[in-house]
Amino acid sequence: MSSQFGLYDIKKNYGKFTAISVENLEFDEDSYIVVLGPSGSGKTTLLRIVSGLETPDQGKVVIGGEDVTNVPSWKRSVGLVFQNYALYPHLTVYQNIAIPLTVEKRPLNEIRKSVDEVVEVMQLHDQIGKLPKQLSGGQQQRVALARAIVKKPKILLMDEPLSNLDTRVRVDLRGYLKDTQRKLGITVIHVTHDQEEAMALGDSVVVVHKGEIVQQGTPREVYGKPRNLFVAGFLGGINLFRKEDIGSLGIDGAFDTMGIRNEDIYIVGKDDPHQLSGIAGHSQYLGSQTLLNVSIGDIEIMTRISKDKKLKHGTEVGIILDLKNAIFFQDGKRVDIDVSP
Amino acid sequence: MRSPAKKQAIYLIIPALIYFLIFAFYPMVENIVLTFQQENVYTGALTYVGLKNYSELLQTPYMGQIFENTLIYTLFVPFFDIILSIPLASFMKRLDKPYILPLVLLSSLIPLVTSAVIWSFMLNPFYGVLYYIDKVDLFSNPWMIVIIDIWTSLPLSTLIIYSGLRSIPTNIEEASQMDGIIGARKLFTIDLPYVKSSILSATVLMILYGSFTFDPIYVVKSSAAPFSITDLSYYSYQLFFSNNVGFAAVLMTIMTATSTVIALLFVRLTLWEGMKGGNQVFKFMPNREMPRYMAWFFTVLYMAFFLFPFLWLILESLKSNPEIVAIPPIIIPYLITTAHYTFSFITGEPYFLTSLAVSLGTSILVLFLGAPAAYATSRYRIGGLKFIGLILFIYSLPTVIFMIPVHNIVYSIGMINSWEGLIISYPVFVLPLTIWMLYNFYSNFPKHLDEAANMDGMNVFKTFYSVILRLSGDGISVTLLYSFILAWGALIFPLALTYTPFNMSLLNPSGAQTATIFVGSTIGHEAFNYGALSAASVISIIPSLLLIYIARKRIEKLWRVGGNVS
Repeated sequence: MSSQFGLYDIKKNYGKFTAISVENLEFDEDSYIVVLGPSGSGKTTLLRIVSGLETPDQGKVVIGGEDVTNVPSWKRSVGLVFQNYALYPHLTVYQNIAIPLTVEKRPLNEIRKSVDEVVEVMQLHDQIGKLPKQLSGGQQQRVALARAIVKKPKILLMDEPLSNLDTRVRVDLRGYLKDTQRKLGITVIHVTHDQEEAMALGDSVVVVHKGEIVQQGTPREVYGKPRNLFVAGFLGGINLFRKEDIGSLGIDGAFDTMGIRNEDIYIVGKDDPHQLSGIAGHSQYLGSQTLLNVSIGDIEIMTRISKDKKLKHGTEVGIILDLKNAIFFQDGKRVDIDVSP
Repeated sequence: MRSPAKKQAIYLIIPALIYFLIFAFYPMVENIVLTFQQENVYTGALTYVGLKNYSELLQTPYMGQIFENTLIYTLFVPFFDIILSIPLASFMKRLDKPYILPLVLLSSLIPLVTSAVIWSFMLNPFYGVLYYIDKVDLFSNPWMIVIIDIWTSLPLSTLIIYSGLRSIPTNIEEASQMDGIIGARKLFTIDLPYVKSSILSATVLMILYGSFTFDPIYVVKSSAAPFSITDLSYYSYQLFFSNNVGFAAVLMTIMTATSTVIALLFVRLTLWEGMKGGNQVFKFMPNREMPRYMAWFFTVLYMAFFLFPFLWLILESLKSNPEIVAIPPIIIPYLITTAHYTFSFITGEPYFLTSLAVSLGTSILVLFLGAPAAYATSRYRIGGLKFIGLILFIYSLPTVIFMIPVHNIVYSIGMINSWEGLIISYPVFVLPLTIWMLYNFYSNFPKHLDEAANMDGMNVFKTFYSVILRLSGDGISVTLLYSFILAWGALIFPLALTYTPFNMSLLNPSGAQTATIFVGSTIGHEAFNYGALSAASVISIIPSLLLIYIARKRIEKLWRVGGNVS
């Protein structure tokens, strides 16, 4: 066994439908791992298998070097933060946080010390006597987090922890989650469908699609070198060109599709030097930037332009592609192509 | 400002409201007036007598015994019901088998008269199962009534608590698994605080149930010593029949007052929103899940209690006459006969026909009155929670208190001893539950349908009758069946409003004694024909079996009493 944390040869079926199947997935200690995938991809099932709420049909779950496949949840040294927090509505914040310890019949002063510690970290001093329904969403979230880490688990699991919050709170909490993980020095597995969240938080991103792990790597790797077309598209806006569309660029190699991210396309005047020419379509003004659709023959691409720039619908434009960031695919899989002239 | 839609919706509630004014509120007032009056035995004229009726409370020699019996029923029935229903409900949740609930519910859905008959077979010291256990004579003893009450009401309290337990969100269940709270400790730390309001409303409902016991006493009284099992509600009925209307009204007013207090508590609890904090973790409770086989073992024990009496009844109905009176009792008959069924069908035909017609008529009438009212309250908040509170209040009043005034109303419009007379008076005790069930149904009904219909230019009535009603098949079919069952099992009103069986003439109809009277007094106790009595009892169970079969998947949702009203 090479790693302290890992899933080996895991399979979980619901009837004929395979919810998740993992050949081999290992996590580094003390890192922030984000499991990313669209809804129904099996990412939550993966998390539930690690937590013990779900038993896999086959395979092995290893936590802290131990095989815990048949160990019940509460003996696994894992903490879980539920999507909608699942705080006990009839218990106060203090009781909610303390419950995993009270259950173990630890001495009262020890319990108080541990709870005080997490209350300190989570900045919940003023809330400990309140009931969950008296708290804001962000505060409930922190209570749920406190309850999950009070036992000092080896792994902290979070199921879409930010999806029930307002956009602004969400960005604040992101930084807070990462800080907390660093401070506590534990392994976090965070499940989300939001690629921005995944990139912002993850030391390592695991992309899940249709019950399988498609790629595992740093945010830079999965964004810049996506293993296939699905990963490329799921992690950010990408424009796809067939090989015959870009014959004029003179790129050689065994590929059938070239992808260029929105930000790697530049729009210039039709008389300036350019690689391709097109016609400006409708644009979406987003405040910090503007998204512009451009049609090149029968293909439609999207690019970012400066927020100050205005282009009339139907204007002829020149297009420059930043080819060193281009991603090439053959039969849907990424291939390395040398574009240096 | 009220929207126009809301103004129109008020009319949907009016029929039900008028009905309750005449048949529920007017009787409560008339009862009070009657307490100061006395009926002349020969002319029927009422004269003012001051407080004379009240002084009878002190002069009647059996009053102490009657109050004591009432108290026994009021305290012990809810006590045993709650103690027994919490474990059963949690076993049912743990085993999670869909067929358990219908089997548990059966005994609460058959006519109460039939239940009493079944238990008098079971507990007969010579011919019943009791012979093999202990030769005690429970017949002269209020504990027999307590047993019958528990057998018929335990399913209801279990259902209320069971649906409460089932409504605990999955993620709370999972959180407690993550935190390591399981088994008995989870029951006490998480589950019971969560369903506190369900438990409380079940308790109150069972208190009401026990305190107004009537039907079992009616069935068993002929084998019991005078007044040994009589309670207030049965005694007031006896007084009414011995023309002591004034004193009967005094007792009914007392019952109305006490049940109002309890009922208000029930209404508060049922419409109560949430729970308060301050609970502790029950550390002393074992933190281990009970093995499944143990849960099965106990559930099977409960099932035996619920279902064995049915088996005994069916065996009894197939025994030949000498086998029925054999001592020691014969368990499996060897001379099987269907003669009792033939006899019951022939002699019972007018009674069963009446019950069928009256129950059918009643369920259609309550649907007509209740469905629009339930829809208007749930969708347009007409009357808001006050109206629903009122409905639950009437639901929790004992039927016997309506007996005298309703008798007078039906008498004054010339409908005594007729099908129509029963049909117009039954809704007093059927309609509240109909509205409550449909209110719950419409509360979960997709709102966008009404909104779409409104956008398409339909007014509230058109929306209700041509869109909503057509899509309510689910809720309405179950509610209709349940109303039918309630009407089918009615005893007090038929006793007060009829005196002969149906004459089997549709052109010139008269007479309207029901199957409950047939089972409860005509055959068994007057003729001592146990075989025919058991066969008639089996027949009287058939509609309940149908209900359970048809509604088996939906009944849990619609019978929701207690817990949060969303």
